[in-house]
Amino acid sequence: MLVMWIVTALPLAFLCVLLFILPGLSRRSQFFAVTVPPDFRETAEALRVIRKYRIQVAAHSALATAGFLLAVAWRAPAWLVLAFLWPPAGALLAVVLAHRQALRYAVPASGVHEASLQRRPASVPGSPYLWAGPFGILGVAGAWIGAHWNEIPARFPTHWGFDNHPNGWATRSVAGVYTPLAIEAAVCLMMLFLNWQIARNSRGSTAMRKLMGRALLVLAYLMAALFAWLSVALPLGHGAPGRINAGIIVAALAIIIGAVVVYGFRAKVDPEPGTGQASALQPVLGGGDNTADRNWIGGLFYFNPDDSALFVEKRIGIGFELNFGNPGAWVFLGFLVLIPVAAVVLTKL
Amino acid sequence: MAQPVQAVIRIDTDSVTPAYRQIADSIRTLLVNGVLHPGDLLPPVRQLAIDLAVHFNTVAEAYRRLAEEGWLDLKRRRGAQVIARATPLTAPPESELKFLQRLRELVAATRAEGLPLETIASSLHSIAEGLPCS
Repeated sequence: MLVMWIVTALPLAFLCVLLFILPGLSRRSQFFAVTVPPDFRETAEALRVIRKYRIQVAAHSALATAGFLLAVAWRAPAWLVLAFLWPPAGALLAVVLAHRQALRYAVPASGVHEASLQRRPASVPGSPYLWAGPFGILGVAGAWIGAHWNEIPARFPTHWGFDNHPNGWATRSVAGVYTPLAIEAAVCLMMLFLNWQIARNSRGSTAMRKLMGRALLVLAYLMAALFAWLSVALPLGHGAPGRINAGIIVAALAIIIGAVVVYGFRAKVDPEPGTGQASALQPVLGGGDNTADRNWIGGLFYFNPDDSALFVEKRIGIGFELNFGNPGAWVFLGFLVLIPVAAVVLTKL
Repeated sequence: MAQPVQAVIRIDTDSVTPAYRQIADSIRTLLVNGVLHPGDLLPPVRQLAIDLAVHFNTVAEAYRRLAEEGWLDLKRRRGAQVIARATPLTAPPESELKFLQRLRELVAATRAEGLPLETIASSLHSIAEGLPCS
């Protein structure tokens, strides 16, 4: 049991460390999403803003740790959820405050935008054959269950409580057995769609686009393998979540996130390796991402109805941010909400 | 087989000149200077609009103008392709007047920014020298 708690604590610690180093995950000409001179980070003012941010993150991390310890002591999962949500929520607030302070040191915005006339490949990053893999894994799991249908008991456990006793059940029906596979197939489709949209409708460095494509692909494989295993093991009685080596899952996720952070940091510092340029869209003035400071709300959300891009590269952190000024962003968000809602509805059937 | 186009265009969204005209002017400069050749494929409207952070219609209008001038062939699926275009042997009479008007405005604006007259004159001379004849 102690091992289980330690394994659960590791992602929380990892999350707190990530939030602590967040200000470093941005281009040198951007500081908390504000365009600044490249050497601004070394000034006393910048160090003061970073120190304030880190004190707040440390305080929120300490509160989250307290919440986690209470969850362990009281065996209360609700506290566990709170412990995981508290640090990002606190860091969000700290970023907004730091962004406000950083605005005092902003350099005058430039309206100069640059673009290469080189055509980007129209295909999804990563071969279509590679993207077929996660669906293949789910298909094999589905076929395996079908072949052993008569061995599935009429009722089998699907969820276990903190006391290690089952508290959720499913019946031997198409919905009861195949729902996890169907949900995961929908999630994989969503990840493929996200990858395609980033390739087609995003503005950012090629390095960041490739990194996100690969990260999504690896994550799709990991999740497909996990769901396939669960879908087979639960009805056929080969195991229970308590017997799943959670350490392997946590370690795999940590490796993926760690690699994304390391390569993402490199993509921020040197987006087009070998070209000697800071970016394919060589920044003339300003932030070099063809966005204006005024379009970054609180430094976190991008809103520009005149910009055709659906995704733009994040100014803080790694990856892409939706352009909320684009109607497509709201449709995309709708789909993101629809999948978990559909999952909940399906599991209740 | 068209070669990948290795060129960058730049617009200033704070400028009084409309963005579509800046895009058309930038691409036309590359065409006249021989950086872009017949057969070259320009990026699709969607890609260039996203990269320049402007509306799709802005790039579409720039491409349409260049197509009207005979520089581009706009294809539904493949996007814009550079086509061979010979410079007309005789320019319309208003061309020279328009050119002089724009040049005067540009020289005046540049002088107002403090650039010496000699530098402007020598720059104009070297640009004209560097232009291909056809």
